[in-house]
Amino acid sequence: MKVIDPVCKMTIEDTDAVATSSYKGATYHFCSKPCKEDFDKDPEAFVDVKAAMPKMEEMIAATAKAIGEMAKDPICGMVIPKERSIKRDVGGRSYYFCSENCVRTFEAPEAELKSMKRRVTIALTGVLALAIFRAAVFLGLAAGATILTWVPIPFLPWFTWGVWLFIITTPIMIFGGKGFFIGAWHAIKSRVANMDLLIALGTSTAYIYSAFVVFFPKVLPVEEKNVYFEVSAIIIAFVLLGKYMEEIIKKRSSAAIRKLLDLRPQTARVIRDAAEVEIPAESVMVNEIVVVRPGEKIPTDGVVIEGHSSVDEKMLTGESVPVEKKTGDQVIGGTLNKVGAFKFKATRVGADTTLSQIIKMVEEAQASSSQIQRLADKVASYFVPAVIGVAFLSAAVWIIIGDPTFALLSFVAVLIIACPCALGIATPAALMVGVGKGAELGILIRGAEYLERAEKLKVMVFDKTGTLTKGEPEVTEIVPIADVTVEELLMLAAIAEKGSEHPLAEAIIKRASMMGLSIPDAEAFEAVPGHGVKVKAIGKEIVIGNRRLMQNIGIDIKDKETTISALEERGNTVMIVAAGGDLKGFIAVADTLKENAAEVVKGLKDAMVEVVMLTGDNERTAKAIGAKVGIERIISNVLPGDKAKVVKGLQSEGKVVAMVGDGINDSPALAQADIGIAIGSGSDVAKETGGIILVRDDLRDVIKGIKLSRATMRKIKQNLFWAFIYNSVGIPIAAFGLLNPIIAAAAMALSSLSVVTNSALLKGVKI
Amino acid sequence: MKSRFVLTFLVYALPLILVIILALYGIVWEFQVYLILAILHLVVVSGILWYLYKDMENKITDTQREHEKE
Repeated sequence: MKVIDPVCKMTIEDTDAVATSSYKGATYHFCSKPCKEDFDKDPEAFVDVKAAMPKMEEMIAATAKAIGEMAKDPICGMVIPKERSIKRDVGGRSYYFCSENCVRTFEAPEAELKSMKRRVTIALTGVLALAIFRAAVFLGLAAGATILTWVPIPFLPWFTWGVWLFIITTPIMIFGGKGFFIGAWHAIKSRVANMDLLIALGTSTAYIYSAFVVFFPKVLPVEEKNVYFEVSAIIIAFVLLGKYMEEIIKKRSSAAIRKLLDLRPQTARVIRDAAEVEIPAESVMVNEIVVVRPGEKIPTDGVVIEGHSSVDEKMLTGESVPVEKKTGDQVIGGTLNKVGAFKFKATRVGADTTLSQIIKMVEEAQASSSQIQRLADKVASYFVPAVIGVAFLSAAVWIIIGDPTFALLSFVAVLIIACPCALGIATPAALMVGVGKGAELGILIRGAEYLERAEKLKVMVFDKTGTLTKGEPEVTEIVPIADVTVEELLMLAAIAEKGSEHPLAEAIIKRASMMGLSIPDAEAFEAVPGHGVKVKAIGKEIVIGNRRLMQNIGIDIKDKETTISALEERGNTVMIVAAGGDLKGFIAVADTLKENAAEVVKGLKDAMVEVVMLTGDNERTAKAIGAKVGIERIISNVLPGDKAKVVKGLQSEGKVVAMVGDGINDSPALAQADIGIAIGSGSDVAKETGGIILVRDDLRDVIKGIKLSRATMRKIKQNLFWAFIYNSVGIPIAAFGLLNPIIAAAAMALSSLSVVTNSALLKGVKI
Repeated sequence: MKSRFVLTFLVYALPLILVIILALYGIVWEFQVYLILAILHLVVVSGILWYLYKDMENKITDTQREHEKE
């Protein structure tokens, strides 16, 4: 279950809590010991009496309050207090960063990646130089030369081989290892053990010990003079390489917010001093009259005051059918005007617009989502204390035996051998194969954290429109009246709709074509905005539209109301057809379920994943669709802005939740979910927010994605085993004082070889 | 299936095979071992990682291209 640390307000899993405290009958969980200590000193400062009641509503309220004060760094994901962060304003919004590095990455992501590439290149080149240099020394030994690593060679009397190794390794330690040492320092301050700490411990021990051997050989009380510079260099180079590879995979993820900003039109045409002027979109003021032409984006929210048109709101609402807009109707900024021109009065501008609210919700969802502990860090959190324990134990045993010199050496040797160089590549190597295989299957995976979460998936939430359904209307039922045949009714409807570009008309024309009907042209075409169409053809007037249109032309449909209502309750939009002043029948059009939707739901249930459907439809219609697809848990009447809250509610049940969606309105929910899965045919924003993207728009890929995630995670776990096993075997060797550079090199070589070849085996796994 | 099994076995037995071969030649603790371990390992591992990376990049590019065509 997710809980909130009352001190730092961080959301954590209760099982991951480092410490707990009881106060006034409630249990509080903490992310670190310092948080617990602060809490224990003065619990009242962090919890009032009401908050001591462990109710979920109050926890959510506390989170909401915390979100107001905290912000999530869009680059590294760290949740930071706004007042202590570095603030940048872009496109009218504020972003908060934990460091200048993150600011640089945000402002120029490619430059930061290039800088990282440079560091990796320096480290790998240095390591190769070290290896060649070292090999040259060994070759010299093999040739019978008397040169030893710590003895000055005749050509360079003021330098020793060891000094050369020191010179090559030092920049690698400083430039390459800087990040790990900072990470280790933070870990020490938080009193947690992680991968950075293990790397810092192993590399710094090897480096400092070797430097002592080179510069102060007499300080060491033994004849043992081996140096381990390359251990430090290789570990840093490989871990850095692994991080670089992970960054490449994730490099597009920080673009989510940028994509949202791109939706805003750059300019708007407004009426000022009785003249039409073009101004920057952000300069539009409330109550100002805005002019929108065909094909233009609507610059801000408002109410239509003149003209009519149909507006494509799919990007915001997910609804595939363009919405008719006439005087008095509301329009949303960022949506696309289709055919007509109109004027509207701006009612909300800037941060108050619907689009800005969605951006805010995405940010809030991202800020409140908990950061999971990476698997490698979790393994390291157990391994580091164990290694330190073994090092002390080994030293203690040697002291008891009566050899304090050997005690010191074995202590150092255990720390040197403990850090596997393959640790850093264990995750990215498997991830690269997993991501590549996913791409082959039409599934793009953004990062290892989504795989780690997918492994624990318990609930899969589907948005209905465009996700479970096709998002394109189709004719579902044709109901002729009296002696009219199905073909005749469809023919009348098709004649009327032939000149229309409305998606409902397209559905009718498509069905008529499928039935092989030849549709004659109409003599006159009149579109009645928001109502339907009137035409003259085959000697009579044909009318197709809604109830109001029929009332306007005097056709009585009261005795057919039961039939119409029954069709509507099944989720259809009903089009009433009349010809020559007589009612001819009804054509029901609906957004139909995607092929394989039911199969996918069954597959997920078989995999012990609970399936939930989210929809804005009323309960009855939602249940009808749920029954067709086999989903029992349906959450209906959900407003577009409330989807993220629903996902949050499901997470509060203590489950790992995935959300599948396609629209911009799904973006906050995709960001809130532990795993956001975006459909390829959906909006760019949904795709940028999702952690997994299904490129092919085939729902079966949801199951494939889960299977692939689990297979990749298995590989990552195996890799971590291979990364640690050789070094673990080396620990007793080190404890007995038998460690030498060859054994250290062997452990590194064998572990990294095993890791990369084991990762390559994932290519052969069938999904 | 058979080839997969052989491949898996080879991967997991690779370190052992390597050490046995070196032992047969009597050079387990000689400088050649260091050459093999330090230089070859670096080149081989980097090579395999590079291959995995390029393979991933190509597959992502192909998929995106296919998606853009649609």
